[in-house]
Amino acid sequence: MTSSVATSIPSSNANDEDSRPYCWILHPVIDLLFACGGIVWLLYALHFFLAGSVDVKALLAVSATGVLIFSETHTASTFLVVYRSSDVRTRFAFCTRWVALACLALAVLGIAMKELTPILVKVYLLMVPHHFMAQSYGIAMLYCMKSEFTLGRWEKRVVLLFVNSVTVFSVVKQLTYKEWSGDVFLGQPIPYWPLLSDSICRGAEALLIGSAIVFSIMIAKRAVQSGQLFPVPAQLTILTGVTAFVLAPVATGIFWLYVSAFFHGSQYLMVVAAKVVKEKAGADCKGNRLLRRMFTPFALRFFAATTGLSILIYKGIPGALQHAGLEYVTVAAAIFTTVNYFHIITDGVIWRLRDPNVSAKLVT
Amino acid sequence: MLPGATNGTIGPPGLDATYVVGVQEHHDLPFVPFFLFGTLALSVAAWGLRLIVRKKKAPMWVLGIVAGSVIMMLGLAWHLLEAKTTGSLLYPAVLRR
Repeated sequence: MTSSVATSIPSSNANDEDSRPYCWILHPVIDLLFACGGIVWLLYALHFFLAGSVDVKALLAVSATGVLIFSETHTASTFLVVYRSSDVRTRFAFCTRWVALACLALAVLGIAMKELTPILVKVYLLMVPHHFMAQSYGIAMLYCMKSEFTLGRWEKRVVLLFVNSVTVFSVVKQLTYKEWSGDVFLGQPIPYWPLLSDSICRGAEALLIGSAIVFSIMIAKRAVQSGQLFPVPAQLTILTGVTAFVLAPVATGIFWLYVSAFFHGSQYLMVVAAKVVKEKAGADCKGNRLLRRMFTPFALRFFAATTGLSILIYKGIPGALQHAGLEYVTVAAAIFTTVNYFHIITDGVIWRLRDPNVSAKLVT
Repeated sequence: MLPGATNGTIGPPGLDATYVVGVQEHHDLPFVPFFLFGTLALSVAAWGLRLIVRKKKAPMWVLGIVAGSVIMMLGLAWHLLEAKTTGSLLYPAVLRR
């Protein structure tokens, strides 16, 4: 296989290319479905195909199951990643001590002061676009590195501009229009903060369209000039991430039934699982060998711990506090938002591809 | 507000037209993913064709990928054409709902 082919469409055959990075995080099929958004698009298409029929209820059950398995679990797994050893805890002391304490204090305040919980929810919703798009960008860059597709300085800036313009557009939209601010989330009324004017939203919209065009030109130029294709998994990851923030209201609602669990949560868990297993088995563990390692007692213990912690945080603690006489909805919302604050802030610190500790494990 | 209103000229009396315009025209950009799908199909086709031209015996999967991307481009073009002839919006209705 020529270099240009490997750069463009990742190869699943790792045996004859042991010295080169494996092009996928876990496996081509798993990656395309759960990291690049394949299953989201399939479920989304199925949802429209079945629209109006009773079968949509089955899809809602699929969505709810996905949230339990991937979405809630992925935030809980951050705790296991960052508190897993004293070395890591010390290295990220800012997060493991101060951010954790701040989030705990906010959770207590949110539970004690009911009027604060909607504000916590609002801030969480404003943080989501950046977190979501930053992760999509990180995964796309990971695929580029794994495919040995080197981005130039300006090319990297173009991708970053596009990703950031989506974030800006989504946040501006929430701070401009009531419809995009939302009404209720986690049983809490969402405050409407109309801080920005329509013209700013139009500006953000123009920036997004312009950066999308520049991004596309960059991909096409590179493909035509050097025959190197921006890796397909990276393109799909960015495409799915961007789509989550630019659709019309009804389509957005349907897309978000699946995207948080089967795209964002699942891709995070894949990366965490790959890193944790490689730390144990060695960085050269890749391809089918890595996949087999996912079923070893060590990996299964990690998955069980993540699931158990997720159940404890999102169901156990709110349930226990309800028995103590507190309102379940408020407690659940306060815990959900503050755990997510911790997850979002910590993620931004611990997952940096330019950190050799991270890239050495993930890029190989 | 009337569902499906595309400009401020339709709507119940007394309704703020700017609000209607804002709701329908400046909240969603479904043509961005539509555009990205087009770029993906185009770049894959360009890459595959280049490979086919360079290597006389291109592997079957390369031909499959090129065929797939061409079908995707035709689908997108067909949708644009259909939208133009029926006067509907220039991007997928499924994303615009």
